[in-house]
Amino acid sequence: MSTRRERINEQFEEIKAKVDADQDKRERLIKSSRDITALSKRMIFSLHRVYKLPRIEQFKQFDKIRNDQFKQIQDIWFNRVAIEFDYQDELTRLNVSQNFSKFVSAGLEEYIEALSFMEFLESDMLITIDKVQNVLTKEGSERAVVEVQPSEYLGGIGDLTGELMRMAIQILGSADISLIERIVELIKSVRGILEDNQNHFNLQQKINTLENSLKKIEDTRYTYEVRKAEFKDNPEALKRIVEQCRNESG
Amino acid sequence: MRFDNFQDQMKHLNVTIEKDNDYKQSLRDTVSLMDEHLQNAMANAQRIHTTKQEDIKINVIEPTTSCLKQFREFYLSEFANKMSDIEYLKYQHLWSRSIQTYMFIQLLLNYLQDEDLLTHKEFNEFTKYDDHLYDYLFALISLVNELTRLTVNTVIMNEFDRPKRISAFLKDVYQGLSLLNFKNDALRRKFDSLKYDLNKVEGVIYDLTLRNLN
Repeated sequence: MSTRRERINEQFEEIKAKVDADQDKRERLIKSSRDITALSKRMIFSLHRVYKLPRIEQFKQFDKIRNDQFKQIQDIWFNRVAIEFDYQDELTRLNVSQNFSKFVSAGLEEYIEALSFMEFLESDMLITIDKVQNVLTKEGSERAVVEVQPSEYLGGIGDLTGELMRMAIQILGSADISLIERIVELIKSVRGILEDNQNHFNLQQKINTLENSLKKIEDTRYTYEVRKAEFKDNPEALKRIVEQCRNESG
Repeated sequence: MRFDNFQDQMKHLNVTIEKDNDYKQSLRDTVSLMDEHLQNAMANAQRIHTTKQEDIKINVIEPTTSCLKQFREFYLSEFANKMSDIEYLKYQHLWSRSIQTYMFIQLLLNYLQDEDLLTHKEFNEFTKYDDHLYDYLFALISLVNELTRLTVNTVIMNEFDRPKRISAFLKDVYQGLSLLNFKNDALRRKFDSLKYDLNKVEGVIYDLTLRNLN
């Protein structure tokens, strides 16, 4: 008959193995999430450089971003993240994904922001949650690496509006005004979506930022129109001034 | 499900969220009904601090056990046995606090009865998915807190033989917990605070020894 202390220790040795494994998994996921965040941010910067290029150049650059930066992120999802949720037993898999998918949530939100920005630039559409889910599903696999939660999707497209605002200001004066109007329309439809889901999630912060973005676009457009009227006979000077006001608001 | 129209899909998303929220709310209501049994159990268990050793079985253990039994039946019929495994896993965070409290009271009763520790595996009604392990660890920490308080109260009841026994048990538990590597989370903070509990118990024993009371 073993002593009480021995019996207690025996159980804790078992628990220790589980707790250690959990903690390692958590750390690996947090690391992946951070890498996804950093790469997504970089991808968003690259995308901001694309739309200013001539049309044909744009396609080339999109391809490059897709095959290079975007692929790098996909590799993290399909290798480093997927392996953490890869279990034969369905219940174990579910249990692990319930407990651990929150650790990649931050990365996922940033990723949705980058992905939705790319989707908008390429197809002029707001990405759907199903599409995000599809992009996160490896070919031949029946389920996505992680299940995208509505809150993460809403957070991602909420942040997208900030990028759209930056874009609208950047292209002011050089692009068709209809594109800017399209951007404003899209930001407003995101606002509609966020407002519809206000009761379920805390989105006030995002809505406030979004409102500010709309105002920023309006103010910049106002300044631009005033200057345009003022310098209509001097396109060179107008160009300089537009450049300046871009840098101030961007 | 496929949608050609974005608005339709957003509407669908909205309906899904709303349904899920309504369901969660109904589960929360059920949990608070279930918690009434726990509150009763807790009220009974609290009597350990004023009950003499020889009366514990009848005045504390028996009434508390019967409340816990009601809780357990409620839990099994409303959650564990009623839900599919998938559903259970999805929503278990809603009642994990209740399970923590249940485990804590059960651990306490088991100590009072056998002066021994119930293992995580012995809570087999919850360990179907090898889960609620962290709830068990939180419950253990509550157990140490509670027994520390009991040490003081046994002295008030002039039962000078008990602090030493409680202390030995707490040391065994603490040394088991010390084997685990906690990271900087809630569990770690709770675990770190246990040393004050152990100190307090030591202090009681010191006071008793000094006065030849044990």
